[in-house]
Amino acid sequence: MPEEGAPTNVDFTRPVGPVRTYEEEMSFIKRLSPYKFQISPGFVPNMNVPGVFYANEALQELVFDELEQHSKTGGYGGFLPAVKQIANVAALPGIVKCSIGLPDTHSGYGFAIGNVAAFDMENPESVVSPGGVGFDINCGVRLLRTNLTEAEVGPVREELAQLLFDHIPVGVGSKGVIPTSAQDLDAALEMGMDWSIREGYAWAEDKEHCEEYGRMLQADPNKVGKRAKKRGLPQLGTLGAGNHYCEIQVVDEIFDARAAARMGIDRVGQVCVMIHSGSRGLGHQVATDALTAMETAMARDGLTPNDRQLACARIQSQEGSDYLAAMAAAANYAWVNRSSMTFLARQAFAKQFETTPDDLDMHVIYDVSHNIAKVEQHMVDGKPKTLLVHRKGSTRAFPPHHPLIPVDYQFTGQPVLIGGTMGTCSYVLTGTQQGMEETFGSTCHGAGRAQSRSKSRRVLSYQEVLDKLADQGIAIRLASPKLVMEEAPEAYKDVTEVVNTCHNAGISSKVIKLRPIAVIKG
Amino acid sequence: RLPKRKKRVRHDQASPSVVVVGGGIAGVCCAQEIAQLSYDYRVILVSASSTLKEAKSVMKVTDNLEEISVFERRADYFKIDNPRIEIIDGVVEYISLDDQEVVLSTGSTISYRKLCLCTGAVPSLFAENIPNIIGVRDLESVEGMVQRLRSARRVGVVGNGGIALELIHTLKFCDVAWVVKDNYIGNSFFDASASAFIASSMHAAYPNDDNTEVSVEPHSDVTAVVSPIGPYDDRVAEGKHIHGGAIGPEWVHKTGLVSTLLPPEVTSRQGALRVEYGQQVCAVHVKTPPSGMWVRVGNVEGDIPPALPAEHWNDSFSLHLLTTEGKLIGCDFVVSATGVTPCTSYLSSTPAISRDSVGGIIVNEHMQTSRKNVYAAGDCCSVQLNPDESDNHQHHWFQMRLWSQARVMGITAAQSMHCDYVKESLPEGAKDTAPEFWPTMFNIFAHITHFFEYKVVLLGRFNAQGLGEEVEKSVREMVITKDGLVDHKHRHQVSQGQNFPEAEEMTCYCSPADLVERHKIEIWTRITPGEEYIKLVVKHGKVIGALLIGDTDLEEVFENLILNELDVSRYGIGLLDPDIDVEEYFD
Repeated sequence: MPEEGAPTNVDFTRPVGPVRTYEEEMSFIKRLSPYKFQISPGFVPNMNVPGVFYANEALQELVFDELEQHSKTGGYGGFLPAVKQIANVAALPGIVKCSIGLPDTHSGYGFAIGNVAAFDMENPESVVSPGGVGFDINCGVRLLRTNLTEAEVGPVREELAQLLFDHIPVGVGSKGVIPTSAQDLDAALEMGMDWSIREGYAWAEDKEHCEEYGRMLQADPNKVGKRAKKRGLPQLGTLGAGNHYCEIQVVDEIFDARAAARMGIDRVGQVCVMIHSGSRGLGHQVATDALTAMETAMARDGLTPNDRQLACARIQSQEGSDYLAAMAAAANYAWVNRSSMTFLARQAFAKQFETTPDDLDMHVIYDVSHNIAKVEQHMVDGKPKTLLVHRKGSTRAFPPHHPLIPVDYQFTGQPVLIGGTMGTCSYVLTGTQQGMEETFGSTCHGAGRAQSRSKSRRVLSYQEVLDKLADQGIAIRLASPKLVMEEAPEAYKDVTEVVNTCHNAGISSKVIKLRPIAVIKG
Repeated sequence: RLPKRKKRVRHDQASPSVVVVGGGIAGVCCAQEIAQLSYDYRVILVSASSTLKEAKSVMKVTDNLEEISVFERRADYFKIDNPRIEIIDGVVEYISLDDQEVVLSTGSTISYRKLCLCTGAVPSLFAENIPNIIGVRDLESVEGMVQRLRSARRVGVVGNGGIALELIHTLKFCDVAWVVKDNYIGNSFFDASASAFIASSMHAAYPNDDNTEVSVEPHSDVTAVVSPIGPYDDRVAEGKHIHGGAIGPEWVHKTGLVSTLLPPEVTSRQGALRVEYGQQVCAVHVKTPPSGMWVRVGNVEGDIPPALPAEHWNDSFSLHLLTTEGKLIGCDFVVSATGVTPCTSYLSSTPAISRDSVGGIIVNEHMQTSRKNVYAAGDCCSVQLNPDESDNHQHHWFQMRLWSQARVMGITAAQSMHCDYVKESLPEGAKDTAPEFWPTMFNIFAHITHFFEYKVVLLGRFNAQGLGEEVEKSVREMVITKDGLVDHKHRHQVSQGQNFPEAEEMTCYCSPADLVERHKIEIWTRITPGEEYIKLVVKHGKVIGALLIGDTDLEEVFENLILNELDVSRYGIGLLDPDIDVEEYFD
């Protein structure tokens, strides 16, 4: 079927480049170290820089299987393997050093999930691409600590999970901590966490422990279309489906006591709360609006990426700057979202333990963004450069002494929060100097999926998974109990494999391991 | 003609009265929201019934999908949680627009600053005023039905919507004869193949599938007489019956009536089900007391077949339905589940408030009626969306009289009333500071329900609604045979190279070629028998609707794809490949 507005001489349903056998494809991929591979130019046409990806023995198999499948079927279905996507990104104008795939990388729209790519701001040819940020803009993770222990929380975890669940706002009505008028929404989009603080839903110190202090200053609510705002209005303060959740976790293991102490974690068994959420429908619409606008601009500016999904615009063009302003507003929205849920978690704990959140020491350890593009300073070929770094499904991980990380973490490096999945553990890492040099200060974002959900559903029985979680002492409060199965740990590339690969490759280092004792979804 | 006005509830300048009429879901949600929005209002809820419906424990499934449980509370209990809502027990006689007053049947009047009409709808019976033909909507009528079930052997069900489906699901313990006008069950939600998917579990629920012809036992004392069409008995036309609010989702389970009111020896029976497809009831025969004569009655449709010979009557039943195919079905009683009619007759003396042909009060997306200060929400209104010029996207929303829409409409009406009131009371030049609310429910049609243990999610134009009657019909009847089986001849199985690995247990189909060629509409389906049924409606490469049955967990990604209007033509039916994690892909 012809696509509206598509150039008619290009068949986008077929991959660009020659059809090769799996063996021929593999000749472009070279192992650089036990944890690092290079994709050489020529793998796809017009590569400006090489591609690089990180994987250990177990994870590389998943990557290569995907490529083998692709070679066998001749690329039918429109879904490209992650390595092809990483290489296609390396062909975008203005990209510097390399296009990077992290250990949890897998296929996504345009860019692979877990792909980092940086573009030189001084190069007028450089582009910004909404596909490099993702649809759920500023999807991210926040970790709160408490001074409670598993011994205190364990016995009441069911009640706590229920309290938290009951407090999650329920959409269209004006109850709860959600802005419901258009004016409130505009203010939230512009101010991010400053809005939450002004409205009394967040503590002033919360933003100290957030990337960008919980507010991207270039945000312009006027660049967010009405349709996007309409989609955002009823959603603020809700968790969302899929991999969005709130978990009560306990510290399982401390790898780096000094760094953990800086985060207020001093003992095994200490209780934390992890919140995973993003900008939801609003982000989706901002991304889609930008993709549409850029498709038109691409023809004007003569931009012809390898894959039409890599719709992009020159950073300095109107479309480019409009997108960055709207993306920043969507990012602010996501922070308000996580702040609202922080408020609810604090309320629930205070109610359960009949004290104040303050006395429970419920401070934000850190808040990281997974889907975002930011202007940063990096060294490229020994020279300082201003770059636009796209991080899709990856986390910023700045090293110690970096000027953009809070004073509390100056000696440890920026905390990096890696959400596992229900029934598996989560991790706190810190950024390293090596990561700063190799990956633009970026690391993985969580457990990538090894299997699709529907496949895992058929492999694992619902009861099996529930029993397993119950054996592990995990209380579950779910919107739909079937989600347990769908989010079963086996469906993911093991988060431990992913984290260990990042640790061993030196792009971040392990500090704390957490395990869940209660999960709230919905 | 109109009753004389008695005492007045005076309009207080200091606290403007917002009057909400109707104690159903829309009315209660509206009153609660307006009380929440500002403390300035005096909120008055006029309810004809002493119990109020509340929507509770709402759970967000996706941005636009919400699971709601509805429960009833007596007005005095309701007051404890909602102290700011005054409840007036009464029935509206008419609205006086000039005086801004609501006049009740008792003659008392209530003046309003803003008025929201949430008077709901009544079941439209296929035959009126016949004993043993009942509608089901409010708690009272369900109770009545359950009482009849104690002794019923065979129940007739007429209608093909959600209520009929739920009934069939519940009545497993007695014989059921179900007359549906379509060639498949559940036409308000399903297409024919989805219906076939559901039907297999439906038949599994009735172990004694009744495929025999209706048993016709001769009875010598009975003679059939044809009477003029009209009310059979004046005694049943006992005057205006005021209905309570609609009972809400999964009413049979939620009320627990079947399990509490019926003794186990009744519920443990195993009934048989026969479905009469593609037929309507064209005549009803009832036995007249005291003579025991069988008389044909009812305002029924179609050509009436000639009267039947006496030996066809089964005297142990209280009535017989005659279908358009000439099948005679004996029943103890019949539940008519043939849709609802807006309940707005009190507006007949108020033509200034426009209504459509079925009596629905016409409102725009702000729930405003054709008259200032009067709003309407819920089943009593008919929404007519004005295309937003600044927004050239297609509407993915359409109205269906569902509890989920009633709830959001009630809230939207409250926000509009608040917004308009603030704007009116602000001085010229400061109007911009009034809060602005956007009616977000119109983003997308989104409904979630459960039938036969399956989760059913309906998104956007899941049956190609609004794309023309021909297209819609073609989508709905995609794969249909008379006995409800899927006819594979009408489908194009994906070609060899595009097959999915588990083809033996999971089948994927594209739509019939004529839809693709003539209307640029594709239907992509994935069916795992007994587990899930997924259907996407794709127009010009964009997903415009989705029907998801079972625990597919794809609701969020398809809701987003519909709203994003992203071109997915490059994936084709590969979008439904079970090995691709589309949700992560579009993250």
